[in-house]
Amino acid sequence: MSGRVIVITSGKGGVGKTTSTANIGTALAKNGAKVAMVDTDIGLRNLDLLMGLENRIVYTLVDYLNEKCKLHQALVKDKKNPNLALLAAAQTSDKTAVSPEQMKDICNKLKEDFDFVLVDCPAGIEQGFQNAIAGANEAIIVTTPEMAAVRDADRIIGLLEASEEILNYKLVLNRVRPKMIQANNMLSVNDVTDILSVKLLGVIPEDENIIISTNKGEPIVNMENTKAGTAYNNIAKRILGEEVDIPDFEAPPPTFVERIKNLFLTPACSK
Amino acid sequence: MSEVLLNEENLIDLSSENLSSNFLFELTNIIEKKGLQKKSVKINFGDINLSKSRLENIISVLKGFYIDLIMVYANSKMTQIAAIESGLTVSGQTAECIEQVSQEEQASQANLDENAYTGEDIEDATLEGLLWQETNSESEQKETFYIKQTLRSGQKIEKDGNIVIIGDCNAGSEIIASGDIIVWGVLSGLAHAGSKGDKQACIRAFKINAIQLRITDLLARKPDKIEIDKVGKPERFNPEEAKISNEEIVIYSLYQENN
Repeated sequence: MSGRVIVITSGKGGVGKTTSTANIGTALAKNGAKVAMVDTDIGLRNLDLLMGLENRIVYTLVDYLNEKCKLHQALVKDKKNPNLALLAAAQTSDKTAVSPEQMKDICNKLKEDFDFVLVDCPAGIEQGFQNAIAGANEAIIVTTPEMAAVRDADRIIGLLEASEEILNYKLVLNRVRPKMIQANNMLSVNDVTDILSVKLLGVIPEDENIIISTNKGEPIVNMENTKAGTAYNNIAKRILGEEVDIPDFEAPPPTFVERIKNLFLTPACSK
Repeated sequence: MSEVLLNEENLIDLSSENLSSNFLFELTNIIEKKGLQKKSVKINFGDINLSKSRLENIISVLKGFYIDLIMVYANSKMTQIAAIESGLTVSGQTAECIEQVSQEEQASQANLDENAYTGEDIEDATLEGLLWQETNSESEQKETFYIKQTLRSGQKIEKDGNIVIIGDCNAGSEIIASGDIIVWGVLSGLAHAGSKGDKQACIRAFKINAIQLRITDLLARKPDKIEIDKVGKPERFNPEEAKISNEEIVIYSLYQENN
């Protein structure tokens, strides 16, 4: 079996790389795929926290490279889904503890056993980034509708284009606020895709539930009826090849009068 | 035309500005802040001394905003004469007598300004000059590099020759050419044409949205804007050209006369 290795990257920090990795990974596993998530943010690990697996980590990626353990020993199984595993980063080392060749090696080993290997990339374009993309064949670029984040995403896309390994990259636009876009106070989805000229994989609306979910250590896709959770589930379906429409976040919501009209019109049409 | 009643909002007061290289940028700043595009305006130049070519420069900037300059206030004799020669209505402390004097002076001035255009000629000259002026320019003898890709942040192209880019140049990218730069897309990065001193060099793009433009050792920066900068691609582009005019970089809209 040869799985797909996807790196999740952004350039700028704090735009939602780790949150996206945790949720896309969980959603893919819920759809029946075998998923391994690799945290390459050595020294500043977070992915285990978001997954609520912090207390289960015995061995880390650096321990495996130092031959203190076998690869399967370092993989932490998820609490709920046996299809999902996490390879945690070491908190006590730094990015120089890993080389791109070693990362390539780990990804190649993992893709023999898993359908998807999701690599959570650290912020920046230095060694940590070079390590993260080394083993990947696909990339997901996470950005927010802010100039700084879009600028950094543009830089990252330039670097991904230069890399021969990455064959395919798509964009996830995070923390979108439809009301601010309608009021012309935020870059719209079209503005961002116009600037970056990259295909869109999904749009995640701003959702307070994300904060609750990260504090609980429970990915939002496991919570019922959340805007962000639904959006992440749709992204997972798109990665699996299903066609799910991206909702239009820019159309103004129906006015009160329109809603009343719809109320009356719907039963009339069904007759 | 002076019968048109204007309120104070349409008066651009430049009397407190000094005539530095940023003068044109301050002007565009004021236009953008007050939203004066496509309106008729009056300008108060105060005591600023403007040569005729300098004033023509300002008028061409205003044209870029589709602004009709209907009246000029000036205290400086030099500016008043320049304005009258450009066919503008002038008002100032000594405007009336100046107007009489200038008519007499014009005869003698004409000898000095043999090479100067009259106001009408300039309009035609700018329009045609945009495309055809440079037939003998250095850039034609230079090698041209054809690049078919979107230039992204952090990417830099530096060539001894002309550069043609098919694609956008995003903010954070750099293009440096000793000749012309032509972008078949939106130019948002930094462009430096004529890097080795070719003053005829120019920068052309579908849309010039660059943070900085450099031609030879001259520099132009984007006006500071208050509102969010929407860089989205319009349905129709209005190609623009930046080149040196009287020791300043001026962006011309290649479409302006047709509108």
